[in-house]
Amino acid sequence: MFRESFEAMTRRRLTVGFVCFCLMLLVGTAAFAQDEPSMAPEQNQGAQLFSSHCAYCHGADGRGGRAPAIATLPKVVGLSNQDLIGIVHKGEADQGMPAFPDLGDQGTKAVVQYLRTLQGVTANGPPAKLAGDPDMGRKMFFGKAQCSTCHMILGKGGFMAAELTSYARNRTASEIMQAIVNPDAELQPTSRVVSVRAKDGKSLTGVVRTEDNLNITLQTEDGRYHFLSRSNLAVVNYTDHSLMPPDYGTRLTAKELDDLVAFLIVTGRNAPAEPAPPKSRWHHDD
Amino acid sequence: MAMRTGRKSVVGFAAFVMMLTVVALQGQPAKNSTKAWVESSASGDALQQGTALGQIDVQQSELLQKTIKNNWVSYNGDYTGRRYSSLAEVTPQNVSHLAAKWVFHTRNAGVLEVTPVVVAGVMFITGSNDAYALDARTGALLWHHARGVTSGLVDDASGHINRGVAVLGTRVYMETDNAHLLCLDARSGNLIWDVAYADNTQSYGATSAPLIVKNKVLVGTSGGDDGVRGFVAAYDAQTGKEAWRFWTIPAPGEKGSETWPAGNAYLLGGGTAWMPGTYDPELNTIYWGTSNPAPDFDGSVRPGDNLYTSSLVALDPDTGKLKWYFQFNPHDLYDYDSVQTPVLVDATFKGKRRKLIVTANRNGFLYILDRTTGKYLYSKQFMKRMNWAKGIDKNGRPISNHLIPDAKGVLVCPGFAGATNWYSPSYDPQTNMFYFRSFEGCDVLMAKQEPFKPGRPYYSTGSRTPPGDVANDSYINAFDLTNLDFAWRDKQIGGRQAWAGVMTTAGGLVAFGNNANEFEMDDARTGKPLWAFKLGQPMHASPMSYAIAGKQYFAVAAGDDVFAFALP
Repeated sequence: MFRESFEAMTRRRLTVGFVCFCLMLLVGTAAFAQDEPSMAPEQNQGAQLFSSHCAYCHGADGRGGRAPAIATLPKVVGLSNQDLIGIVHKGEADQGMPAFPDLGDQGTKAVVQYLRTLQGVTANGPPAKLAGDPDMGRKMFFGKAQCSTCHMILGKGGFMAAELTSYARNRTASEIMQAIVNPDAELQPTSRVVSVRAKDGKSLTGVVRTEDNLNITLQTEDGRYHFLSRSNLAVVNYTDHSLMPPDYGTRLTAKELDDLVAFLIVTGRNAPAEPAPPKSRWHHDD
Repeated sequence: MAMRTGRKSVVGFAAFVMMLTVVALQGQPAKNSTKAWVESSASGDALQQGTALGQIDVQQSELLQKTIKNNWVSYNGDYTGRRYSSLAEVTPQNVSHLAAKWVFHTRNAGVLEVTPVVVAGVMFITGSNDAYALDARTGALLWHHARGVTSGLVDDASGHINRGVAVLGTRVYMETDNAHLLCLDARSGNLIWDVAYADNTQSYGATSAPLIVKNKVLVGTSGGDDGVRGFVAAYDAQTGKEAWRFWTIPAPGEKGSETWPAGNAYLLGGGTAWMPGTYDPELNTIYWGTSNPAPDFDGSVRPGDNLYTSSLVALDPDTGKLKWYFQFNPHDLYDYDSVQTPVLVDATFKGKRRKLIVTANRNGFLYILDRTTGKYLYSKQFMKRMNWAKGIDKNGRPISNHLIPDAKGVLVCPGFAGATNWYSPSYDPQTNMFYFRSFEGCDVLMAKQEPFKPGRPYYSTGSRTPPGDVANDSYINAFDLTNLDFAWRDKQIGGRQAWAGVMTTAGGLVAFGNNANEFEMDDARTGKPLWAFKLGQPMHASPMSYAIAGKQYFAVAAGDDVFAFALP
C-alpha cells in the first residue's frame, strides 16, 4: 500500500495536534468544572495531583492516551482502593507504570479518591452498594417498562432515544433516578418533540433532529426523517418534552425503579472500554 | 441571537394557539403520538426507487440495481464498479451553472478518502472511526457515531483512513482503523454489534469500505506492507458471525503454495484486500484485487510468483472458494498493489459481446479479462515512461526487464506510487470509454535484507526521488473500447499530483478531482474542460452523484470536508 505524501502527513499532524490540544483543554475543563462544586478539600488536592502526576499519560479525564484508560477499564474500576493505592505507591514496572512514593500516604489516597470520581464510583468506593437488583432491572428495561422500545443497550433496543450502554458511567444513582422519573428536566435539543402543520393543513409530529432558520428535520417513530422547509409550514410547535413517558414515577414501584437504576449502573460499569479519543496521531516512523 | 429568540417566541405563541387544533385533528395528545402524523406535502416527499425520502430500508433489489439513479448505495454506487450515474440533469450545456450547495466539516479526520453513500436523501460518510448521517440536501447532521482512533497501529492504518460505509436494510456497516466491523443502526447511529476480524497488534488494520453481497458483509484489511497474510472475510449481516475467510496466500500444501518458499514467508507475505471488490450476480462471482507481496522491495526472501499477491481473485460469494485468479505482477518488487477497482463491463470485444473486466493497473498497463473464466484478452501500456517491463506476453504475464532493487538503488518507472492507484476509474456505456487517472512518476527503489519485526513496516528499505527528476505528468485518460485506443488523454495542469478518482454520468460528463485541488467536469466524449470549482485542499477521494426530488447533486470529499454541488 502506498504511503501518503509527506506534505499531507505533516499537514494532518499539525491540524490534529491543534485539535487535540483544544480537546484536551475542553475535556480537562469539563471534568474539573463538573466536580468542583461538591469537591471536598482532599478531592481538590486529588484533582491537582492527578493533573500533575497522572494526566500526562492517562489523560486529564483518565480515559487514556499514552497509558490505559483507568477511568473506564473495568479491570481497573474493579480494583480495591488498597490495590490502587499500592499501584500508585509502588508502580508497576512491567506495565511501564512508574512509582510515586513522593505523593505520601495522604496524597496517594487523594489521587485514588479523585480517580474514583472519574470512574463514577462513590468517593469511598469500592463500587457503591446497589439499592436494586440489576437482573430484575434488565427484565424491566426490556419488558414491562418498555425502555428498549426507544433506547438501545449493547446493540439491543430501539433507535429513537439515546444509547445507554455507558450512560451510567459518570452519573450517580440519584441522577439516573431523576432522569427516569423527571425526563424533561434536562431536555436535549435533539430529543424535543415538535409538531408542525403545513400551510396545506397536513400535520406531523416527530423528534427534531436538526434545524436552522430555513429548515427543520423531524424523525418519526418509524425511523423516517422528514426534511421540512419552514416556508411551507404554518405552525411549528416546540413541546417541552421528549418522547419519554413522564409518568415512570407512578407507573413503576420504587423497587422497580431501583432495579432499573441498578441495571443501568452495572451495565455502565461493565461497558466495553471505549478507545481513547483522538489525542495523538503521531505515526509513520518508518 | 436576540432576533432568533424573538422569532421563536412568536412561533411558539402561534404554535400554542394551533396546538389545540393539531390535538383536535389527531384526536389525542401530541405527546407520544408520532405515529399519528399525516403525510406532509411540505416535505416535498416523493417516492424514489421504492424508498420514501428519509426512510432508510435498503432492499437487495436496490443493491442489485442495474443503473445508478437517485441513490448511491455503496462505495462504487453499484456492483459493477463503473461509477456511471444515469442521472442526466447536468449536461455539458448547463454545467457552467453548477454551484456549491453545502460543505460538511468532519473536524476529526486528516484527509477524507470516503465516497459518500446516499439512500433516500440521507448521506452516510466516515472520517477516521467516526460515521455521520447527513441531510443530503443541506448537509445538516442527523447523527454522529463517534469512536476514538486506535493508537499503536502500523503504516496506513495509523493514518486512520476510512473509505466509507455499506448499507443493508436499516443498518450501516463500516470498518475501523483496528480492523473491527461495526454494525450501526442507520436511523440513530447506535452500535448494534462490533466484531474484531483481525488482530491489530499483528500489524492488521482497515481502511476500506465493506461490500454487501446477499446477506453478507465482505471486508478486507490493510497491513500488506507490514508482514501480514491478506484475506477477504464475509460476515452475516444480521448476526456478525463469520461465514467464510479466503486467505489470499495459500497455506503450505494448498494449491499455489509452491509459489512461496518453505517456512513462514507466506504468513508475512501481504496480499491484503484493502479496497472494495465488485460482484456479478449472474455469474455469482465476486472480484477482489490484492496488494503487493512483502517485504516490498526485497524479493530474495520470497522466491517464486507469490500467489495470490498483486492479483485479481474471483471468488464464490457464498463460500469464499476461489474460482479463478489472474496475477498482474508475479513476484512483484515495486509495490504494485493490484487493488484498483476491477470494473465489470458488458461490451463488444473484437466483434463478440462479452462479459469483461477492465482495469488499469499500478504497473502501467490497462488489462481486459474475460470475467467468466479469468482469461487474459488484451493489454495496453498507458504509462509513457515505463521501464520495468517490455510488454505483456500472450498469457498476460509481464515481460520483465529484471530491475532488481539493491542497496545502491535502481530507477523504476512507474515508481511505488503507481502509474495509477486506488482512486476510482469509470466506464461510461454511452461512450463505451474507460476513464482513469494516470501518473508518470518514477522512483529509485532500494532494497536490503532485513528481518521482520512485529509491529513494524516490512518494506525492507525504501525509495527516493530520482535526482534531477522533473515534475511528473498526470493524465485523465479516456480509453475507447470500440477501437481499443485512447480517445483522449488530458495532461493535468496546476499541481504535482492528485489522488482523486473519476466518475461519469448519462448527462455526458466526466467528473474528477484535478491537480489544482479543484472538482472538475469535462465533456466525456472529447475531454474538453467545462467547469471547475476550487476546493482549496487536496482531494484523496472519488466523486459520486445522487438526486433528491428530481435534482441531481454531486459530492466529493476534499481535505476533511465533504462538498455537494447542484444546479441552482
